[in-house]
Amino acid sequence: MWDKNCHNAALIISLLLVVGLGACREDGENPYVLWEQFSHPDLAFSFYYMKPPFKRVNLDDTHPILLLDPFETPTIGGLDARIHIEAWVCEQYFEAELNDRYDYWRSKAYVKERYIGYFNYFGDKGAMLEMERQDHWVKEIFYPYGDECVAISAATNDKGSRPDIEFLLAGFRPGQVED
Amino acid sequence: MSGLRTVAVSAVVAFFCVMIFPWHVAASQKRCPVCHEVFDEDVNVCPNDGTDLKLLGDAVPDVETQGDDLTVPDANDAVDDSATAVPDEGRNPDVHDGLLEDTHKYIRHDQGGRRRRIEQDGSTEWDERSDRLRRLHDERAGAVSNRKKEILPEFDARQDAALRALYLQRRQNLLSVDEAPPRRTVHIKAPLDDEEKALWEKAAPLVSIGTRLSLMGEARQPGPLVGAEIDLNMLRSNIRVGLSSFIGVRYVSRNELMFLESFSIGVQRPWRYSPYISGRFGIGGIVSYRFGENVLNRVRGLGVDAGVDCHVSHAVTITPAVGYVRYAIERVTWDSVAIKIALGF
Repeated sequence: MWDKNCHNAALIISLLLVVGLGACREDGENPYVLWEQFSHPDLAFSFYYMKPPFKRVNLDDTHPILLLDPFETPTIGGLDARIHIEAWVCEQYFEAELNDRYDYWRSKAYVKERYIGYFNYFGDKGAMLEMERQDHWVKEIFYPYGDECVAISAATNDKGSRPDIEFLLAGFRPGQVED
Repeated sequence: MSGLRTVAVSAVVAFFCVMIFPWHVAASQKRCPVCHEVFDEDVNVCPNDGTDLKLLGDAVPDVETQGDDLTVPDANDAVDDSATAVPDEGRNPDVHDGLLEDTHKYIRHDQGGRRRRIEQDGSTEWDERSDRLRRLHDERAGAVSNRKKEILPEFDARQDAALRALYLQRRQNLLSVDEAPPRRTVHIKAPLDDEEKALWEKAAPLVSIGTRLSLMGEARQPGPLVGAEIDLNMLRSNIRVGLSSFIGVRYVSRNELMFLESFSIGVQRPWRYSPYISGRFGIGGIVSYRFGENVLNRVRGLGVDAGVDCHVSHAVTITPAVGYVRYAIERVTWDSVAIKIALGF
């Protein structure tokens, strides 16, 4: 009786392990494994975002725009959602693009700029632009991509979401995404 | 005047003579003071013990004997005073109330008495006396020795048997004392009776509450997952079947809340310290707070646990367990060691 019960229990446990372990392939160490992944059609860049809550507002995959809690009317600082994420490929070198973007945000009265070297989660080196206006905050990352550059911009008026936004920006990387 | 005196004296003398003469005439027998046998007057020496009756014999009045009345009175016999009553006529000054009292004590020669020596002149009298003495002593000694010969062996045998038994018993006591273990407090665990055994038949507790620790790492962080778990065991004998509810927190960059409902099945050996091994499968969810909103992801859990249900009493059980668990969210998995300790009732 005891041997028969042990045999049956071992069989059940083995079956559970086979069924449960069969479908799992990826390692949970990647912090973005639970996030949605977006890749440029030409594999110029890729990034991760959470879906939900983000929603795609355009169908142009070369210049994706993601909004979270969009506003009916833009704010004074030009923000159209609680969190605004967009990525694109620049037609100029990243330093020139960075200067242009600085002038753009300065025209919208954003101040307290900061230029520092930047390394994403995967170790890619780029440049970062960070500016503020009252409760508005914007952060953009630029990476060289050949003779061009790739960039991602994140803007929000939710101070509590800044750590998550920085975590999202840290997942932006130029070039082809490794499977 | 002188004539009157003479007459008085004569009368007294005559009185005494008259008193003495009948007494002398009446005392025609003598009693031996040793054997108390009565002999005639003409017997001078006691034939039984050789006592000089002339000197030591006690006068016995000549009374009519009825039948054979010459038996030696035994010491235990009652004195028949009526037969030996002597009239109080002065012959025996110690007679009181008509009873004869033996006043002639046999005085032993070693206590100052006089003993008539019989010359060893080869006469028959000496031989007879010697023979009588010898026979007397031999008879006495023989009687005693024979009695001793009869009794002593039996007495010795009984005494010997009793002594032997006593010796053996004492020897056995000494040996048992030596063989006995030294006195110390030893708690002997009595075997469990059926009623107490029945209490350990339910190996697993019905309900247990505990804490469980595992790991769900993120971005080079260990990501410990710690929470509380409630187990409900439905089958609690050799087969262990139960349900578990877990709720805990995953400590990563953003703390996440996780809950998991599991079904477990295993085998167990009912005992006071009951070991078990069981497999478990569960589903649940993990809630992440990102970008100001709660994001829910489905979680699957699969693992094996091994532990011991320690019945500290009939109502309380402490269960430490260790096992392996794999969490899966969509296509992503986390492999981890799980540690659990629970209190059961």
